[in-house]
Amino acid sequence: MTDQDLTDLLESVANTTTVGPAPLSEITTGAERRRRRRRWRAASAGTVAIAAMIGTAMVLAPGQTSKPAHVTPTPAEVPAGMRLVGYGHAAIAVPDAWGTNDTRCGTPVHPTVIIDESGTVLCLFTTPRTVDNVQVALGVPPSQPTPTHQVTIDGVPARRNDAVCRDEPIGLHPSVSSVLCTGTVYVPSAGTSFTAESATAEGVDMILSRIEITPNLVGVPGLAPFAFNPQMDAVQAQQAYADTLRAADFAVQFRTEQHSGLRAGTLLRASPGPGSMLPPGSVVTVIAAAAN
Amino acid sequence: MHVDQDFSEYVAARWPRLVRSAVLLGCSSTEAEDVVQTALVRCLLHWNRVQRAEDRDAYVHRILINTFTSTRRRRWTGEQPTAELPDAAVKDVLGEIDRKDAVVRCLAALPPDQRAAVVLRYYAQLDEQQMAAVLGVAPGTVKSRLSRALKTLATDPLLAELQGMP
Repeated sequence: MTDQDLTDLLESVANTTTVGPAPLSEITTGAERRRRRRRWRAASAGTVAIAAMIGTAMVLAPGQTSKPAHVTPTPAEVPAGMRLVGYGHAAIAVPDAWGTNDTRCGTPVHPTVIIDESGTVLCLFTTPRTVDNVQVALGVPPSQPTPTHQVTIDGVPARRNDAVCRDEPIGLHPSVSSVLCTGTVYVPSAGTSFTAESATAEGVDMILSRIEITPNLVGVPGLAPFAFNPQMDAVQAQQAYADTLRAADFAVQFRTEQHSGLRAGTLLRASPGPGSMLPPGSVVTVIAAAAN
Repeated sequence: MHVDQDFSEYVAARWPRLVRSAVLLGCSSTEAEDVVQTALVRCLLHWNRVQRAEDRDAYVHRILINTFTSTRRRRWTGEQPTAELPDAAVKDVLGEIDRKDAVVRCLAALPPDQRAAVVLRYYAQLDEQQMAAVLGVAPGTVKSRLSRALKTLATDPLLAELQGMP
């Protein structure tokens, strides 16, 4: 059977299916309904989080911990013009215009998501004014206070701390400063934290209000803990990362690329990259250096 | 071009082919329309991104495949018992039915990844690069899936019989 035979056969069989007119109005109505739901959730999430914190504080006696009722999370939907980034089943929606790891000497220079950074080059760099950014990490970054307020996100328990603001000197002139506000939300079920920075506390709350639980999507695990682990050789790192991907319910495939100066098997990157939110079972390609 | 107009034109042009692609992927005709409708709602939510995509058809097919896959995970599509058989009128076109039945059986015998590859290549007419983007795999993987699928189809007696049919 030739390619053309198969094409003709599929064409003729497919044409036996009678197709009605495109339900354009149903499609546009469905999309609009989802947009409205997303807008409502984005606008109310901050309020809900604050209300949840107040409610918890009022109901719980000192020393008690909350035990939220089981709530079935709703499927993830991404607002138009945004993308989801996260680990496990916890993600944050960030504007498409935001970069990924768009930092200089460890300092965000444009609005960005910081995730799975492979290392920070220390250098003399004039700190810019605060730009919105969010760091997605496993566990709470050591530089941040431990979040303690109990909240729920999509019915799943989480903890957060209030946004804290301070003056941050700009450049080499201590008299010139920019306000830097920081807040963190930690989702224990995903072991994932989201630390937002903005010039205002409201900005931090707005960024963190876009965290959501994604029962139908899983974040691609980070590569850096394996690629830069001095206790693993290249093969061990590759194997350990592949095992981590499989444990996260991804299918793994391998590809090599020529890369002078690196040992064969050195992990280069994953595709889709760390933090990408994909349906379980999706294929993640691990790209390693080929033998020279 | 305005999003709504651009989207409407795209849907008007592609709707039948997308539905038939879903049928070849394994949907019933009713289910196929539902799956494609769901996929197009998702596309419309991100239509700006679809417009920016280098290959719009590949992007839309990727969402279609993802929607189809998640539908398959979620829904049990086995037979439903019924007290009375539906009294449906069927056109008396035995050759057409035989052909469709044979092709559907042959496609159903393929693993899902190979079946998707065959439909995308030989019905949706995507090239290997586009398919790699749709399926999220390397072009080499696309080639091997197609190769294995074609090998299976070539030895299928049902399809061999069809070769001799008018």
